Amino acid sequence: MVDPVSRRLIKELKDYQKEPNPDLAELSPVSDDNILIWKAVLRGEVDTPYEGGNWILRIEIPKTYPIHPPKIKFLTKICHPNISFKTGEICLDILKTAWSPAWTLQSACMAIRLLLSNPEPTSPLNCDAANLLRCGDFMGYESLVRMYTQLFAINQSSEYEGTS
Amino acid sequence: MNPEKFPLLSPIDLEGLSYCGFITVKGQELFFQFQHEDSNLTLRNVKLYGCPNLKRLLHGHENALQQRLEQCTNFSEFFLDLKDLLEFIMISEKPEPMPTGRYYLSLLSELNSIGWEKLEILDPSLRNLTLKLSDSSSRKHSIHISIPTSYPHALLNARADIPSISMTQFQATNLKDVINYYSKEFGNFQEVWAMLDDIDLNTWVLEPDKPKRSDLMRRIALGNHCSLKIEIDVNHPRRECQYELFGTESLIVPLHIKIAKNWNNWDINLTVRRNFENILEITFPTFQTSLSSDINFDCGICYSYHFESTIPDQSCNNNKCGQSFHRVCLYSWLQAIPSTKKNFNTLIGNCPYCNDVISTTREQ
Repeated sequence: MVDPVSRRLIKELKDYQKEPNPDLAELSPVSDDNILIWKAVLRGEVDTPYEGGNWILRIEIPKTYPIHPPKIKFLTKICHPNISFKTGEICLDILKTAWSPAWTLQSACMAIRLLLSNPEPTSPLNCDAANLLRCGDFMGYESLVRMYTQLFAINQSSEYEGTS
Repeated sequence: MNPEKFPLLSPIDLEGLSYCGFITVKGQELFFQFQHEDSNLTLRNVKLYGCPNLKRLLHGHENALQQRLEQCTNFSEFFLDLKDLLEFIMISEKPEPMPTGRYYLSLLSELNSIGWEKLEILDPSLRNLTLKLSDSSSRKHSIHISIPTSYPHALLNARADIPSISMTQFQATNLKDVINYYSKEFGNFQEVWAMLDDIDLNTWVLEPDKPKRSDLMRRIALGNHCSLKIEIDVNHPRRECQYELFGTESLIVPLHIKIAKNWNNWDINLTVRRNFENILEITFPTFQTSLSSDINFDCGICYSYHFESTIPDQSCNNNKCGQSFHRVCLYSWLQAIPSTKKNFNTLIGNCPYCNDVISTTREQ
């Protein structure tokens, strides 16, 4: 008998495989013997400074999922006001207090993708990026983000695989 | 290694790490070989070979053996432990007596008399068999028979899948009696099965998953997360039967009103399904018609239908949402969020899907 958490995760995996999402290049468990650790690859949105980048996300699922939210962080370095440049930690309400079982791993990843183009500079994890926005220096902000996208997220994805 | 203590063992390598020989347990001499994989002196990585009889005795006791290998510090200790283990197994083993020649002769003549085409499965020990039988409406039935070793002096035990608990088991002296008995019993349930088959064929049955012939209960999908549970009365299959409606309150209430209005129109000449369709003034959706529209009965939290033998029986009262949940799942979700209000054992919070007010109670 499969436990309820695994059963739901298997269903989510099947749903993703049935209808692959072009904005999410990958979404699957890292290894066959542990279904509680997943990896996702986010594609940067077109017409944003993140265009062309691929970011690897590490998803840790608690045994109490979906009552409690998954822990998601960026493995690929990313420059964003609400994402820690050092640890990849993400500040997003649905991953904390606003979580509900109606979210899936896929929809949570898509929410993170949406956060990229809709930053919230009032609750920053990356003060340098947030300060540029708060000062209204959109040009400076965009070129900073574009530089880090170029540096870390374009054709660099393989380097970060396997790190945890 | 003390050769006087184990006279039947001899070393087979120069280091004295591997041995072969006989272990004597209860007068039986069993050949075995004990081989060290590396020069490491712990017994963790040793290999044990043995004669077929030894293998048979130790079968199912691999864990105990492994434990002893890990605990023993040297070979002599393990050897004594192995001897103890084998003695214990031999004592607890009770060989079952073999059936006599008469057993096989009577079984053979029985099968000849009922006809071999009725035999579906005969297990290799010739102790259990399954007969297949068709009833007057050509429904297929299986009768499982186990034969005691002392047959024909003892009675056969027969068992079949029929909706009456007291009648499922039957004891008889021969196979012909078994067949006669069950043919009659199957005849008695024709009406019941006709009603149930009509439901299975023309509706989408949510529960039981794979109905058995003995199952009288059916949970039928109505669409919009609503369902109807009915139980056919085994003695009066065409009569009004027990029912229960599940789903969003706003959709269920009009159905209850229709039942109250039309219940007296129950027509005993129609099938139970047709009666319910007339009373509820609907046509039950079938599995095929429902596949296109995405009616989803799975729990919105665990994403499955069956959960520890319960099914989603709680649902959101918001018409546009109507999402269903298992009571256990919804309870643990509401318990986990701080905004939930608690009133005795009722939790009042928000639906995880539409944020409308939803409440549930702990299982009584």
